[in-house]
Amino acid sequence: MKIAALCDFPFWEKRIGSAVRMSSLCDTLARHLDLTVISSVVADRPARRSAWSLRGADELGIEADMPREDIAARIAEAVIDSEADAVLTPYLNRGWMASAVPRDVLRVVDTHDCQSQRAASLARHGLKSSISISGREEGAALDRYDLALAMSQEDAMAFRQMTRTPLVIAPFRLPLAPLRDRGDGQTLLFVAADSPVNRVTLHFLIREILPLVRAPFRLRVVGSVDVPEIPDGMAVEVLRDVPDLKPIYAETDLALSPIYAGGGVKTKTLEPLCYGRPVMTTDEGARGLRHLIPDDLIANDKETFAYRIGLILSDAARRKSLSQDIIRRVRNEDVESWIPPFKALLGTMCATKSGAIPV
Amino acid sequence: MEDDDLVPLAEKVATLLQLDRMRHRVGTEVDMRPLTGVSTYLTEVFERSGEIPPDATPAEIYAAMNRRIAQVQAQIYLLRLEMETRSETDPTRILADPMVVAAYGDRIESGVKTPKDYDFSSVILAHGWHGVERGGDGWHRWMRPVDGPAVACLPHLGPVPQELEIHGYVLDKDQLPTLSIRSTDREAEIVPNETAPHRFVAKVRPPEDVLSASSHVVLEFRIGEWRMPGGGDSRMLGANISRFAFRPLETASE
Repeated sequence: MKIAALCDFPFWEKRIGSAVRMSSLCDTLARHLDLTVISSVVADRPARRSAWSLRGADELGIEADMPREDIAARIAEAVIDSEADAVLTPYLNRGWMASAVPRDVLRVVDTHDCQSQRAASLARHGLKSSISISGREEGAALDRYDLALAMSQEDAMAFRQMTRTPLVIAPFRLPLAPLRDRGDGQTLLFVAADSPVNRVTLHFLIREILPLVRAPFRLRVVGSVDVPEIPDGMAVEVLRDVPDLKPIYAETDLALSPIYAGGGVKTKTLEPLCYGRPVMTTDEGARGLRHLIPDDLIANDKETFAYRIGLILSDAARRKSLSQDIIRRVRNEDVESWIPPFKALLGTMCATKSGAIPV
Repeated sequence: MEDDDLVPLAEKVATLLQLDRMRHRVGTEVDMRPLTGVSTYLTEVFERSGEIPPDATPAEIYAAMNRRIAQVQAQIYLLRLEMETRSETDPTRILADPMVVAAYGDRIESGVKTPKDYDFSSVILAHGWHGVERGGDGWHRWMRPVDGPAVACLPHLGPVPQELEIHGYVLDKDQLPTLSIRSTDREAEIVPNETAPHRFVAKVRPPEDVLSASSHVVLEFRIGEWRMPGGGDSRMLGANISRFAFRPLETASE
């Protein structure tokens, strides 16, 4: 079976969480299926050798100022040329990329988040989603696809209420790469790109949670997120351009992901888990990852969150035990269990679409 | 009570309040009884058999009271949150801690625990079958010889324990021992009808990892013996399937 993954951003550069997801998804698919990535933007080729092949905008003759219809037509030509059985689009709002693709090619969407749930969650905290969509609208959009990928069971359950399109839960995961602990018993980490949610989260962390922590600590903030005014006496180090997060994670005693709004699987929660570092988070921060996180690392009110930070920082044995528990959970998870149903569903749809079935 | 005793108790209450709603490990139902009369409720609590043994020391009674009061506080706290988060437009004005709003603001049912029945009149994704027909058993389809198994993809109940029943028949009861129905690596048990041995009900419990990996269960049907019905119908027929029924299984906690 051949799949063409469409993209309008160079996800292999992994600059943002959604790019990391797309990269991880394509790598997994390419291990099981014949995958071609069709990019509508000109970008540097992946530095490392990938299992998937890339057809970029330059090869397709796509120019920057080209109307969308023309870009869609070029993409369709490339899809036909690749003899793909299905096209994969990232996000519902990229549907235009497959608009000119022949109807006998199956449409698969990687939903990333449940947008209506995300919009409702953000609204609850006075934030506005970049994609404002109701559950009914999202359901109608999903109905236009033959198959949808959900990143978590929670998202899949929300989607089930709004569409009959078959769903496959393709979890967002990164390779497990445990790091040697080089922490000093005081180092906390918050990693985030600049966004409204990340801004309010960091503000809440610095202004509301950390002042309640009864243990010496130093917070490292990594990424472009806007940093609020730091209270007097609080040790906060801001690192903007960090090419490699591994040494930072190795020196981290406890990563923090106190997210209380939004949706989808959070890279800032997932990444420390894959490095085998404890991460203190909330139910929202643990979305899609709950089974990988020991109960001690979840708290849903600021007092408990702060109390647990202090507890974990002051107990090296507890940190080690939490790390070992996380590594065991991540290692034991079968992250590719979604591939057989994905292939079976697509195979059945292909057979149905090819007219092989008398109706 | 000493601080050392209070800390584990506070931890337990915090865990209760944390309410891992995604896995439904802790119930989130609000108990209305404490709110109709706190003193009456407390009296009832301590009258429960075995709650406080007759020879309890004052310290044990005190500990039990504290534990129960903590539970009551938790219930009241939950009820307050329940009421305050009902308005989607302005819940944050009352609640100072946005983490709490996030934790209790929206809950997702982890499974739909109502049975589901399908026949082939529904949109069932399938291949390896003859066309849909209507007869005494409703909408049904016959397996047809193809390269590989006949496949049917059915939307299941969600990630909850469940059993799937498949109802069907074969033209000749000798075909039945050659029929197999699988959900991934799990074989369905095919039970022939006692009075009409060419009819059967197959039962299978889809594996947990299958239920959590996709919204659909993929069933594979294989048969070794094919029959031609005659009467001018030259089709080769396997098993005829007319009904799929998902039933939730009761779990130990229920």
